Amino acid sequence: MRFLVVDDSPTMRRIVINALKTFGYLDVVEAGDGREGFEKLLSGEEVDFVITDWNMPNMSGLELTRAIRSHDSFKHLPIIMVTTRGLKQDIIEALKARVNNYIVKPFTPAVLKEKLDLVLGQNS
Amino acid sequence: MDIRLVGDRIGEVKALFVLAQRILPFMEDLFKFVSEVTPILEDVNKEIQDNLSKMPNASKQLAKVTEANEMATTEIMDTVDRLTNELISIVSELDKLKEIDRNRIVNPINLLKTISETISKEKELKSFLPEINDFIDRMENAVTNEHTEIIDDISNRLSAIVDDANTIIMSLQVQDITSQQLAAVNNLIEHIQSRLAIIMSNLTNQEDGKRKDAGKTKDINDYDEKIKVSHLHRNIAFDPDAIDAIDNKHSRQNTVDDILKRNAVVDNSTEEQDTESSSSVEGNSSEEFTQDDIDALFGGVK
Ligand SMILES: [Mg+2]
Repeated sequence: MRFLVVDDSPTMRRIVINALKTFGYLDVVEAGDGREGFEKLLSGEEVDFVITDWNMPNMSGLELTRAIRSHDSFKHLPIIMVTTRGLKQDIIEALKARVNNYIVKPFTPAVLKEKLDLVLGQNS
Repeated sequence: MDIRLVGDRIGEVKALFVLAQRILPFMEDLFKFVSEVTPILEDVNKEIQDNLSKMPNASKQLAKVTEANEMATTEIMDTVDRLTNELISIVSELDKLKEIDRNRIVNPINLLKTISETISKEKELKSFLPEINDFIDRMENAVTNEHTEIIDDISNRLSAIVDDANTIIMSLQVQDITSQQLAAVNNLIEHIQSRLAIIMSNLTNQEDGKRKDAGKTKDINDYDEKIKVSHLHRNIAFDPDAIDAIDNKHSRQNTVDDILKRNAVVDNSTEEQDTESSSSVEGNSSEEFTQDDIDALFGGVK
């Protein structure tokens, strides 16, 4: 299982990767914004799961989600949004863009694990 | 000329004089006010210019704060990572130790058991058997109870420290939130700076038409993008309400989960629904939405 972790904060990328490591997921690719993340996908990087922030320069997590969902090769990729945004309208926007799950920062490893298992269960 | 008309005109002029007489004190006050306010306006002008010159400095300081914050966070993470790795290797070393201890003790025990069996055939040595058997028991207990208990206890404590170390790492998420908040403050400073620059430019343009660079200053609309980005030590995209993430950290995920739970029933029959087709709920985002709305949202998600 290979993860793409997208966040403009290096601290957050490291935290997410660290949490994934404790769950036994060691294979991770990272990107500093949506554009870099999408370019990695386009360049043929093998990815099975995307964990993305929302607020990022150049290309937001929402735009990344839309780009993934409208691309034939990646549209089925599971996506979890991890963000500080917690307004109802934000969640609705994310759902409309078809994220598989939504986590608000600061999160606990237990929440990330729960959502991962849920999404992986839905996708298996 | 009609004498009555002249009388009317005189009456009007008189009324004008009466009005002028009434207005005069007010006009005097007005002149006084303008003469008093002019130096104040000059002070305000100077104050704006001073503040304007200080603002880039404030932005630089914010950039330094966020950079220092990020560097300290990285240092903490590096240290915690090293600690965690050390702890994990100590735990595995302890496990090895436990195994080594077991092997070291098991062989002599087996030997003693053989001796014990041999002796049991000799009548005159039989009296020592209880003592030897007791020794065997004690040796076995020493391995299973004392050593193992101590090692297990140490392992448990080390695991608890590893958990704490992970908690420290997770707590560092606050760095992302504070840097977003600082980026928001910086954005506000830049915004005020640009507005003040426009005001100053307008003032000086009216005075002597000198400042030609007012057009170069960012207008308020430049900041009104969907994703706000502030340039600190790096470009930081920020959520102006990021601080809520700290204030309500215990309840926010529950609220999100509540909305997600109501979407638990996924309609898999609708393959690849277009995102546009579900935009009908957009206007209701601050209200409760119905299951139909949600089902429409989730139509294409597996
Ligand atoms: Mg971000």
